[in-house]
Amino acid sequence: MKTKFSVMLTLFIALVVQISFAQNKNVSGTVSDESGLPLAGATVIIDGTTTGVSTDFDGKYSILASEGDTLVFSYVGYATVSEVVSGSNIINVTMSQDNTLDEVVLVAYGSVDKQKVAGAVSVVTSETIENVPLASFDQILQGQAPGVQVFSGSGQPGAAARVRIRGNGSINGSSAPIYIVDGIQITAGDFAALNANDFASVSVLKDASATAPFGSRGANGVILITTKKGNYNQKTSVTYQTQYGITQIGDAPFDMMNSQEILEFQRIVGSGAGAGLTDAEISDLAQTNTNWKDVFFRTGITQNHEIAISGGDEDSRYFTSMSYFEQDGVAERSNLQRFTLRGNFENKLSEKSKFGVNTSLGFSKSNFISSENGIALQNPFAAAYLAQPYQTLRDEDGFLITGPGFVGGNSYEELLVNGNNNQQVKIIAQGFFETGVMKNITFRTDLGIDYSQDNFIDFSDPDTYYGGIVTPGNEGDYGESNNYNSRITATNKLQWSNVYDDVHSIDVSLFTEYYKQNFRSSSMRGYGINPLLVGYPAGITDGTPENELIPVVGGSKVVRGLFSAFAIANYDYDSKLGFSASIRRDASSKFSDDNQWGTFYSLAGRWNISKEDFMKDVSYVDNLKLRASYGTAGNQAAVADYAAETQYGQLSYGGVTGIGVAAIGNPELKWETAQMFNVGVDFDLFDYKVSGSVEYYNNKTVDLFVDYTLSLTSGFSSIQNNAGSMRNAGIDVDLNVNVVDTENFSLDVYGNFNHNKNEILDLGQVSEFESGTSIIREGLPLGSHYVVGWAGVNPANGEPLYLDGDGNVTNSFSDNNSTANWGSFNPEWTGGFGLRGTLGAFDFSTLFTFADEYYRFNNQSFFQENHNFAQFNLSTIMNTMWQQPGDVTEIQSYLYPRQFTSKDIEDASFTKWRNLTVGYTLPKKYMKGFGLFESLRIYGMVQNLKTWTNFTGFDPEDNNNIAGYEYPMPTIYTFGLNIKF
Amino acid sequence: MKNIFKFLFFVGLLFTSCEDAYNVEPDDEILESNAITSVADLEKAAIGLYGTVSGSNLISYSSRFTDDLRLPADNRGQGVQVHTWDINSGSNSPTGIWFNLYNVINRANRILNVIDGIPALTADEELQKDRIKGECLGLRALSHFDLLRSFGVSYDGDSSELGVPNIDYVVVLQQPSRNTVAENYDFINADINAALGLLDPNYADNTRLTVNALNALQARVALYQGDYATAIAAASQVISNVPLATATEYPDIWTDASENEVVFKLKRTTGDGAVGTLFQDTNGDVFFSMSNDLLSRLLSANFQSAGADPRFAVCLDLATATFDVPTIGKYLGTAANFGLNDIKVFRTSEMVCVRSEAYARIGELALSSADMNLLGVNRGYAGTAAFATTAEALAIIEDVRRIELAFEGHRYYDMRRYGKSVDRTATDDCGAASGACQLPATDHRWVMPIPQDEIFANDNITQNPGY
Repeated sequence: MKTKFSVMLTLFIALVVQISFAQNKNVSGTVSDESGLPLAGATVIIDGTTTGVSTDFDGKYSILASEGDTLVFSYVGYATVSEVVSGSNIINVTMSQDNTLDEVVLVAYGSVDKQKVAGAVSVVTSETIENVPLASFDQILQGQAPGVQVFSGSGQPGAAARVRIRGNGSINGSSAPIYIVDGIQITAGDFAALNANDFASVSVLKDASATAPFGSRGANGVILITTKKGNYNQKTSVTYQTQYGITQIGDAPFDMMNSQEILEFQRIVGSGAGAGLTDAEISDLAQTNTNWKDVFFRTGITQNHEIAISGGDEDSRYFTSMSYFEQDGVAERSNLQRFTLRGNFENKLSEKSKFGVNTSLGFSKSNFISSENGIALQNPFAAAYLAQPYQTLRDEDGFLITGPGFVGGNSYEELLVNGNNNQQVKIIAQGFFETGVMKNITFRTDLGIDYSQDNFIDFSDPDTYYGGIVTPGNEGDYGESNNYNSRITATNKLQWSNVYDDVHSIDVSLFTEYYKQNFRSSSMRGYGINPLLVGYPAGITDGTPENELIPVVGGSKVVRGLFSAFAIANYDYDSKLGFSASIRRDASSKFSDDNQWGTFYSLAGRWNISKEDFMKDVSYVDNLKLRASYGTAGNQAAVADYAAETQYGQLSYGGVTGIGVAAIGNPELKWETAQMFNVGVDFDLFDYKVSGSVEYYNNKTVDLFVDYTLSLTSGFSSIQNNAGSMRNAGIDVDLNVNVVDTENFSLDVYGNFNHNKNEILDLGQVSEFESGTSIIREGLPLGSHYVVGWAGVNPANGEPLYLDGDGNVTNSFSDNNSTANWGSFNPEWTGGFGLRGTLGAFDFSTLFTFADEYYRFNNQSFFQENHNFAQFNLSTIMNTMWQQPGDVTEIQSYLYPRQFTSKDIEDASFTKWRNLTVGYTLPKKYMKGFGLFESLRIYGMVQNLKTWTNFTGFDPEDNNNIAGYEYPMPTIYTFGLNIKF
Repeated sequence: MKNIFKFLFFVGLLFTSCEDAYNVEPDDEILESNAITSVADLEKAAIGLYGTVSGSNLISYSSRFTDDLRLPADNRGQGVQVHTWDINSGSNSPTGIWFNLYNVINRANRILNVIDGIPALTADEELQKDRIKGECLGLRALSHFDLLRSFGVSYDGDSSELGVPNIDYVVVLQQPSRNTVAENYDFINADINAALGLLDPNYADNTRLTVNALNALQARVALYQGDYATAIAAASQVISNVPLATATEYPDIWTDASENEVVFKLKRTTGDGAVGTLFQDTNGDVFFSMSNDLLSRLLSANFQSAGADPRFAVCLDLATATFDVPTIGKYLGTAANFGLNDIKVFRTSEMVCVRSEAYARIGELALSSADMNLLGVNRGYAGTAAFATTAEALAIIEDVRRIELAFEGHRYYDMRRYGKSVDRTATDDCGAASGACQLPATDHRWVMPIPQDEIFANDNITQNPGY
């Protein structure tokens, strides 16, 4: 086939050459990009003819043309250049990149010209993701796209963030989006073993038209990722990138007492070491003033090395990369080490057929602190603040001081001697084959595997304090749990497309998809550890009825799947008007036979107003597009497997295992369904100086899973049913303004924000129910705090005062007086903004992110601002405790119990200076001498520079409602180098 | 033409359906439809049923509510609501008791629902089926009785006041109403009698229901109900089959080293909840210590005349007890598992007390005091004087029950039965900020509230008076 084609092509070219020869002269030259690099494979065509050639590997071309002809130079991703042939036989052309005109946007099961997108899709380019020293890709998405809320809850290197697209769509189920890498679904929040530098582009699909093709998985949005691919006819390029830096903890927005203060406080309340001491004894003890933060926190290092090679010839293209990433946390012990490999390859078998594979292999090893985010004294972020300053870490002989009451020493020993780590192996592999079947019809099949394996280990040494209080045995423990998770996605696609009368283009694709997840886990924990074998299973003592050191073992297996048949159709009229529609039928293993199949659809339309004749004279409008969509998408993540059936579980009695009914099934269960409406305007104005989009959406999720309360005589409190509904309505705004654009100086100001109003519309049987410290109530947004109002301290007697349900001040505390006037932990406003630009050889960019109307429970203050915990260190605010009549203070007398109240709910709205980067690219003229590099860029980057907030916990940003002693986000200073060979 | 075939080939590929994606058979789930299909499965379900019974929640409520405990400084709020009678329909403890007992009943009913249809392959299996059916009925009776004495408005066997719903079917969406107290007793006794007809008297495993355990239940129920003849007959059966432990054997009962006089106990092993942690945390924090009131009874002449009453050293943990914090010693567990002990549900000494009280109530004072002497002899002293009046007999029996059955889940029900009020002295939490000094016998809180969750979900249920 190919040979035949080549022969024909040769003949054809020969013919052209022969015919043209007589009248034309030979025009030649070099086509290069802005930086002077030759562009291989650029097309040169004589305007108005079919005569054309391609540039070779050195960007050179030669074509026969006559004077007066116009040569049209084009190259994917670059602005087309036209040159008229005049006297000279040499025409050299410099082409500049042009993302605005030909930008192709990745959408569900394909890609489309940006101007033809009718749905709500935000694109994050590789430039913004690259080289951010965060191991988890989702964290890098912070502030990059409107309506994409990324809140990180931990500064542990590699920790996943909480991602929400246009608010929370589910009450009891998951509201997390799904992630698709090169066409296959991967585990959400599992990015620690993936290298984000491999990502070419990220599309965030936000409305029904964009997500409905994903059917029952699309209700919470979709994050589509493609990895870098190399280009056809591209000279091999080798890039080396490295980065080195440090991580540091920021300052806490509160102060803890010194020894003198806490001892005096203890004397007042009569508990702890200070109780009953004389002034002299206190000042003697107070000579010791240990700064526990110095003990637990450190300056960690972070480094990254990466080599990427890409290139291609006429028929194939490839991209491969190898990387090593290492980051220390700011707490002792915590770190991440990661190795990744990627190989992407694509080959054209013929004009009509191609195949390719994209593979990624990652290995990561993490060490964690103990009891992260827990209100536990093992947690170094609790111990660093709660440990007593009058105690010391070591005795005179240099040994750690541990034992009951030695908070700092115990926790430090735990961190130093005991362990908690994970090794993860992650493989993402995808292959495809595509071929033309007949005229206008192509067939494509894709197969993808996402596999991850986690091996978690934690252990304690019997000689440590915490190892010595392990139950059973008081002699340490060793625990291991192993998870194996694979997801298989196989998709077949038959696509027909045609153009009628040059203006009507239609394209219809039919798909079937098979998706299956296999999950397996096993776990074990043994006791009675041999001190010589701490940290290894060999150290476990065999359990006997006498020693009672019976190991605990467990495990689980989950298999679930989906089978889908769906169709996507697009119609375009002369790039002016377009419609898209999709319909998808999904069958899920999660539901009963009767409710197995669900149908989801979407309709969308667009009108490219700027393409209309009447807009021709409006010179300041480059692009103006109006678009709207409506459709449905499902969420099955809320449903447990086999929730349709009554299940039995294992129960044990006297060491013998038995069974008993564990859950009542509801065969009526079906998908939660999001009904999504979206309308938006995309614009480019003033010669592309101002670009952006404004969108309004109104998403109503129906058939939400809520509990139906049963009589307890059933032995159960509730079953789930589809009875709730909730609305998320809001706007997304995205704006980019090119303020200056000269040869030596360019400056772009960009910003995006989302305002999301969430409202619970219906809860079925009830109108409200409590959920932890929140209330789920019709008419309120999800995540509304529900506590008793705080009304200050009575100056006369130090008594705490509260608000009753009607807002009157009372001195009696009752949970029944809880109200929901304290806001929600789901912010109404989120977004990001910043600058980017170049100045000569320097480039710079910066990013700020913010959240507003955002309230969080500060559980930390309940501990460090509480006289009941005087045996631990307390916040200096406790120095203002009420002591005598007339004291005006917010801290009640110790004679009254401390309660959770609205005082502990704080405005956590924040603005964070997330990133600042300054780079310098060595100008070409200096490169010439080396000959070794094609380009070289050095840069400095600071991540998490500063936070502005009124919140008094470590970090206002979090992935949940409540702030315990959480691992705060560190500040990361790095210096990097990118070299292209 | 060739292209058409090619097209059809790919269309064929496209529509290769993969049913195995969505018809996934369960792996590590047990669905009810195939959970119980053999006698071996029934045995598993019976084990699960025993594993459902809490036991410790009644011990917890009974001890904290009454005058047996007080709050030491280590207590950070554990169990304080029950101790200070801060009890309403939303309170966790009554809700937990109601929920757990109906959970047992539900699981028993699910077994009883299918048991007759399970084929017995051998004669042994036939016996085993009978045994399991008897156990299900017995545990259903025990649970209903515990519900009745906790939530029922009256203990009187003829009372038409509100009892609890009798549940002999699998409830899902139904909203059962409360039966009368008399109907509860009829239901409970019918279950006990049916169970007695099914169990082989040779079964001796005291960690499961036996004929002795059913007799003990019958005796206890009959005493509450006022059916003294049955109480005496059933208790006598138990007393003769399972003799009292001697004073020297007695301490070993509480380390689970001895099975003497233990008629029925809930077995507890590593991994199970440790009953001793109701009183003291594994880290040594003492949540509740013995009240001075109970301590003074233990030290009184009634129990110390012989100087060798083993109950003193059992009720207190002499290794750690001080006069400030007299720690509880009944459930100290093992070296590896603090507080982990079997939960004794029926002991012979209770049967002796039941019979003694039943005799006293029908005027047989000599027989009554003979039983008190029988118990006294086995607790290390010579004897008690003959009772002059029924009132005197009841007062002494109450006192003996308080000591003998301390922290075993009886005191709260006994006080209610005897119409006693809780009177805490200044040294027993009276005067502290909690101010929980006195609970008159007429207070509505002697009857537990029907849980708010039940009221919410069940339109047919009626709340108890006062809540």
